[in-house]
Amino acid sequence: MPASIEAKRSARPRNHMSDLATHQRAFAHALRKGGSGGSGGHAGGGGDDAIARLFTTDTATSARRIAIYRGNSIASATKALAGAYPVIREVVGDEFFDALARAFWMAVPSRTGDLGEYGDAFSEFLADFEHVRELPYLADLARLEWAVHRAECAADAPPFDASTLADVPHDRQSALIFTLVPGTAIVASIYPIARIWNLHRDQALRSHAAEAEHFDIDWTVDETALVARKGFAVRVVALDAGSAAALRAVHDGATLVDALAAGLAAADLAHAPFDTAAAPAAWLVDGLLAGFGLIDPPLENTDVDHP
Amino acid sequence: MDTHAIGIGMRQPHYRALLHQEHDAVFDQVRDGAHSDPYPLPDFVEVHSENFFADGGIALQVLERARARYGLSLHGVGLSIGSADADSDDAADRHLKKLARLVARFEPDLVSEHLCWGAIAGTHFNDLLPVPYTNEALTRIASRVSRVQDFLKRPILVENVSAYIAFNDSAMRETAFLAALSERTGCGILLDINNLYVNAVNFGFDAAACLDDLPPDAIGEIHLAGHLVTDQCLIDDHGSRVAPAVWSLYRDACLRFGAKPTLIEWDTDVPELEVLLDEAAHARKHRSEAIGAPAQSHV
Repeated sequence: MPASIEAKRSARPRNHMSDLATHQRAFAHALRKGGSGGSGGHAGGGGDDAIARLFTTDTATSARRIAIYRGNSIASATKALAGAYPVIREVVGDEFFDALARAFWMAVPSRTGDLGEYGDAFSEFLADFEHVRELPYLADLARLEWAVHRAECAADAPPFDASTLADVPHDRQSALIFTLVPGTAIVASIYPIARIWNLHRDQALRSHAAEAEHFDIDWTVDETALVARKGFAVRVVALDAGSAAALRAVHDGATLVDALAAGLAAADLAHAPFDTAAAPAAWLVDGLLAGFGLIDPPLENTDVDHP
Repeated sequence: MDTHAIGIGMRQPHYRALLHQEHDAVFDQVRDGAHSDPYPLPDFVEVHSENFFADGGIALQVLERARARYGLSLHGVGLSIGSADADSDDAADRHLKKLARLVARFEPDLVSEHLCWGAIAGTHFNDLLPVPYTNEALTRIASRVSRVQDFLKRPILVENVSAYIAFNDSAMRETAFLAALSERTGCGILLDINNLYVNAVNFGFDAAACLDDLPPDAIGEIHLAGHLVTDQCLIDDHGSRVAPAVWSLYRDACLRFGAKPTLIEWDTDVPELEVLLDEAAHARKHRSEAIGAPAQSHV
């Protein structure tokens, strides 16, 4: 190899970027940098020269054309976000939601080509977004809606055959753990989010006839919402303190015995009733249970010789 | 898939009309010719693969029904085969796995993606962004397409995209790039006639001449859609009927390539199903006038 070529090669940066990568980074920069302006149409200050060299069109035309792509990208993201957050859209109105979606797109870009995954950080965004301070429950409502969205997309659960529970030996009942249907979620809030969700969801399904102010909501109530998928439908109900604690424990993998104990403790603290016999039966009837298992015997029993 | 097949993009507003059991009797009449309605059901439907990436839920049940009744084409919009860093992007890897799961479950007649990129350095724009038609891009994208085909264990079709900007670096036409990509990877070509026309107007070239770049045997599907005329340029919005000039180009394509599965796409302001079926009937008519009807009709 001639020395001059060798010298040229070694003079290049060790991890030099390909032309394609350079193109795409410059293009991406222009797409994102121009998004904050209201009217659009600017490719962005510092990147203008780099952009001008990339495209066959003049700088001004290129900027306008890039704005078309930016508009497409924001429109796709907005549509996906509206699909995942129909209740928040109903609460804030279409126009404000579109503005929220644009601000969210600027703050938290999409990470995947599957827009079903887009919007998981919407709650955190809303919690910090100054223009929604008047609606302090919005971030919690977003957490609830994301759980609903995930439940709608969750794996289909085969029907749970409860009769097989009879096969569990009596002395192994304390080892019983239940698994919940995929998508089941428990979302706690200091606001009555289950009630807000149900009222606005019905509203969204009907029309835009009534205003949110007409809803009879006691804002001082806190609620822990259960997101439950049954068949292909997802419902949201408020849980009492005992059921919330017990179901959360089941969700986290506790035994039934431990979960019911957690439920009792939480109910006592809230001065609320909790029926440890009725609760598991209700979970079964409500279709929350997907299956069951038995955890390994505790360590103190392992010295007993089993065949 | 029968090369004479005519399909439509299946979108949510039409799920019920296309899939509801009650409509069977009505459409059977249509097919038997006992009904004056001139619109037969499509031979195949095409859906965006990503809309069915969920682990479960109602959407997949809809697709099961569609699969049982029609030919099926899975058309991807998010794989981003043109990304410079696709091979090192975890999200792209997960995307490919979800697509493979969908393909394995539904065994579609066609699987397609776009000659474009959408993601770089972890940010996805969820749009079909053009690549420069350079040798470097060809090498990279050929490698990516081969990886995708190996993973899916089947060839895919790659579609030409509409564009609003063009790169100074481009060393060849998009159609020549696609032909080379097909030759290197064995992938098929999904020729979108409307995209080709939109680009020809936007950048001032002869669309019909571009057809000569493409090997007839590689064309696996043809797309037709409407576009929007603006002061700036033509915009590929899939929001209206196919334009007369695009029908004319379709006839040129039929003459050059023979009958190819042809699909009507409509994504913006989606009209009644009958409008799409009417467009599908137009496609059948244009093709018959250009190259004759199939020897054996399915009616």
